[in-house]
Amino acid sequence: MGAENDLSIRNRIQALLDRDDAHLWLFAAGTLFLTVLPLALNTFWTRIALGVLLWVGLAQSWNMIGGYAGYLDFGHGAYFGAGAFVTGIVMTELELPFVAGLLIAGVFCAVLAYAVGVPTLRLSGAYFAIATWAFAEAIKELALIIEITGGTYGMTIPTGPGTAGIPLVGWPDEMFFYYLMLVLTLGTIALAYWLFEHSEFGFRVKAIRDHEDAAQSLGIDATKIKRRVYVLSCAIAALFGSANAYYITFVHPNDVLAPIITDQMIIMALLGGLGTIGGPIIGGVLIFLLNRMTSLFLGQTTLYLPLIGVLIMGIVLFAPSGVVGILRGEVGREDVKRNLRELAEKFNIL
Amino acid sequence: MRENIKTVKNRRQFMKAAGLAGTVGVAGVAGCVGGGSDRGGDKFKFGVVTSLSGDLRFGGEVTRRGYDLWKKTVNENGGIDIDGSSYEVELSYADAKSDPSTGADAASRMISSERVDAVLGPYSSNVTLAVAPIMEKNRTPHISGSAESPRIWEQQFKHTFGTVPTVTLIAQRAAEEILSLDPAAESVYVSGVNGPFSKATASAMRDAAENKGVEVLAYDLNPSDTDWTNVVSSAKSQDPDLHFHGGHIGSHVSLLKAADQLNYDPDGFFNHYGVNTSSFKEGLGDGARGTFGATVWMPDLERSGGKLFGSAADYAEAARAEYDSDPDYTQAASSAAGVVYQQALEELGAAPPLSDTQKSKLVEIIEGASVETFYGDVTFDKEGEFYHNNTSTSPLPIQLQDDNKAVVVGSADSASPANYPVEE
Amino acid sequence: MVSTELLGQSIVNGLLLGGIYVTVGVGFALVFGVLEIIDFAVGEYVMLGAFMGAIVAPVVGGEGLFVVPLAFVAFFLVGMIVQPFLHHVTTGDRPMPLLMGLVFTFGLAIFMRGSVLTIFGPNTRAVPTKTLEGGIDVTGIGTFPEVRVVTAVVGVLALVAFMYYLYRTTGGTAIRAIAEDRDIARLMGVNINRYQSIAYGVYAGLTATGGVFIGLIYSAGPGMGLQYTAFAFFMIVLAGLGYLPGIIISGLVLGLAQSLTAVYIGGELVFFVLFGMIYVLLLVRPEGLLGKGEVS
Repeated sequence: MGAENDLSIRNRIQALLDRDDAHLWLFAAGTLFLTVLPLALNTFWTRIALGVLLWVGLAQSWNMIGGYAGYLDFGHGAYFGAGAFVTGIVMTELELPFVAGLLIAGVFCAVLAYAVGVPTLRLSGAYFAIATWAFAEAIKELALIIEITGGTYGMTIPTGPGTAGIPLVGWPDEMFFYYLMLVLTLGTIALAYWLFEHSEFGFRVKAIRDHEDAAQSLGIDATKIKRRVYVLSCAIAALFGSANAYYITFVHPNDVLAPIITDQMIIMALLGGLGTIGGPIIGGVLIFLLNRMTSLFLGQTTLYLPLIGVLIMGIVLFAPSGVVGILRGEVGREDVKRNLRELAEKFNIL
Repeated sequence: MRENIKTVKNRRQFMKAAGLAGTVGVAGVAGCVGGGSDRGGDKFKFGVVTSLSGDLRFGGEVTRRGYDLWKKTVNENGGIDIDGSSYEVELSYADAKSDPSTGADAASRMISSERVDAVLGPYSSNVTLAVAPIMEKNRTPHISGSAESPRIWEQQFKHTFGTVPTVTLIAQRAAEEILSLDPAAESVYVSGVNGPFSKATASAMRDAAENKGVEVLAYDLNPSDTDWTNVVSSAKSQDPDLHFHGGHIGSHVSLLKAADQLNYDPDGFFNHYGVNTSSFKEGLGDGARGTFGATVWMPDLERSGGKLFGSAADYAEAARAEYDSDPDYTQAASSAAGVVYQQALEELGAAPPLSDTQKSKLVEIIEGASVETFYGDVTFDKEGEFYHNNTSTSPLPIQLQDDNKAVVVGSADSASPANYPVEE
Repeated sequence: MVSTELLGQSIVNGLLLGGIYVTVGVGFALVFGVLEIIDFAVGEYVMLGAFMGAIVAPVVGGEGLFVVPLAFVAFFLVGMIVQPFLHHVTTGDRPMPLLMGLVFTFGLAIFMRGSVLTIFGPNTRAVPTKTLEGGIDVTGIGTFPEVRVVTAVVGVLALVAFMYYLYRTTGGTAIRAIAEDRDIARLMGVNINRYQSIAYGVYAGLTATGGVFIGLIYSAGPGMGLQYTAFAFFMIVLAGLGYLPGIIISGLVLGLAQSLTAVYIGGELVFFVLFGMIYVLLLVRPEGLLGKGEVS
């Protein structure tokens, strides 16, 4: 009985969602909701909401190269950190306002990503993963040594009235950063949706992911397309890095260039569902909230660490297509049973 | 055709995903609007932002013990006295997870959701540097019982104070004393970890040697998890009288083990921070003996006393009863931060919760205060490179002697004779 | 300022350091070559081995060396249990099996590190030894720390024993057959599950054994694993992904690069140079220094 009801409701929602203009409505409704949201929140919750937006955007940027193009970029965080330091240098050394730092960070990192992408994208699979990871670590070590980033002392970013360079913005407070992140994140989602789900470009990218050789033989210029996706996704990470630096006001290589930044983006995209628009949104919201709320729920212990480990392993084992896969009905009771049965077979070692 | 099917599927998943995200968002808002905590007026409420997990958990735990012991003792003594009525102290913890942005969010929660009267600060300079701007924006007093990095005070934060003298002073004064031990050293090898605190420590050690006219053979910075045999080999080939090293406990342990393995044996090692901690002693076992360190407080020192704990010894006894181990100076300085608040609040004479004007007044009182405590006299610099740092508690050199027990050495009246040149 | 004494000592340090890395690299190269798994948890097996040394040694007479065989057996069993999970997540109809394997082992690494931190706290602990203390001075060359010499010897012996097993025994032949072509091996009647589990078990056991030695040399702490994961990556890249004997050369190159950079270029630059080397090497010579790795 209940199951049937669920099914019919599910079908009706499905039918509704399949209408062509439905995404547009949903996006508009989401935008409206998020625009008025801070009115209901105090400063702390505004910070949490803007942290969610930041990470949804970052996870979406990783999803472009990692999920849609299938290139496992383990060094994506390098651009987040580079964006932070470029902004800091522009604001302190050149004494330009934040808005200039944001734009210069985006352009600089796009150029850097192009220069790195040309040789690195010739590698694939594990080679690409290790190469990008080594590149990111080298960048972090470099930032710890050279003087322009403040070396191991880090860098304090100017804040206060007049530093933003945007008319009508006085002291850059949480409200300002919330709407800044909102614009960046919604822009990233809209761009990803249009590029990867609604244009021919997206089909080509996915064709390369699924069968690079076949795609190439059909006349798709794989090299060029991969490069474009890589540059775009890295430049977006840099914009978020820039905004975050101005928000936190203190950047240090061990924080903004830490490997955990990349790891978190990957886990968010994977948990939500790789190569989908909704995946990084869901993954970003869930993981960020989980991360910030654990100390509220679990008190003063580090128990959340092993629990997160178990969660990650569980997702990979039982729901490899993430929450999106669960919603799509791919992780029913039968699937879990089959999964367990297959797993048990692998214990047959005699 | 297949592509088309895929798009439809992808659209569906997008819709569902976005729908779910929306639901989670709404639920979240509902949760938080309901979750703002009501502030009663019967207690003073302090927010504690410190790292209870992550790389800095060890230091974070030490500060937590210090703050907790202060709270417990205050409340056992009837609380803070405001014009004849007593108000108990309540601490509200937030884990900074050794990460500056988490620390900044935690600080913000303390102010806007927990509505605390004042904040007790984090361990480590990176987190402090992210938390302090939040305090400036919200005009909330903030005392750290552990931040030792000179960079914090350079920023001239009006609302942030620290009870531990900056490492620039601690390491330099202790190093000068060690260099004055008889027979006077003629050369020193300075190594350190390339981290913000450690580099400041190593550079203060180098300055001390230069001030004393002792030859500095090298100033050698390395990543914390490097293999220290390289440093030891370079040092051994130059044969210094003394070896100074700035870093956290892990690097001290690795360096001293490498020295043992390569038969490198200068007249003495001086390491800062953390020689007088269980982690250092457990990490090295017998090898810890003879190591010089620095401190600003020890249980057997003569200090002014004052509120709550009559003497350094009283405090040590209370700490041992509570945690079953000897307190180090970071823990003591954290408790002393509480005592400073206590005295300043009594002078302010306002009942909780404090208004914004009262908080600003409290900051002024702290800035001008001179507080006698079991930890020593606490006063904060009003200007200069150590702005709002307590520079009046005097640093001392120590050495681990029999059974790895730390004793004060050097020229102080209470000093014990140093085992120098160190004999195993 | 270049003294031959310091140069000699630096080379000794580098070679012995390389020997330590070999103990970690051998198993890692094996699981990559045979199971096609990049195991993010490799450093955590080192950490667990070191912790086992610190905790068990006081019970067995305060001698860390006694823990070595125990650690091998214990973690061989742990590996036998972990492998079926890994096998499961990297096969079947899953999207992006490589990523699934990476993320699964990443989760495993967080689980191991977090559990040790929660149970034993953040302190570093010594792994005691009574036999291996100090170093042996060899005139004209330098000082050879006893514990490092023993570790390096064990690392190389482990590799040799392992090569013997792989190339001279039935079990080894089965493992190589699986590496060659899983389906054909299955058709020939090889129990894939068994030999994959044995291979992963040996890897986990060897790596944890290396961890006991690393604990003796340095100490045990919950956060120590990460850098060995990094070094393990470095070694398989240098050796050529999937080429086992190259591990000795790449371990030694890694050790020497580290000690010579630290002494002659600057300690701060060590990791920048190492990671820069991996990156450039992958770009210009993805088949490894010796040119014998497989290129995808």
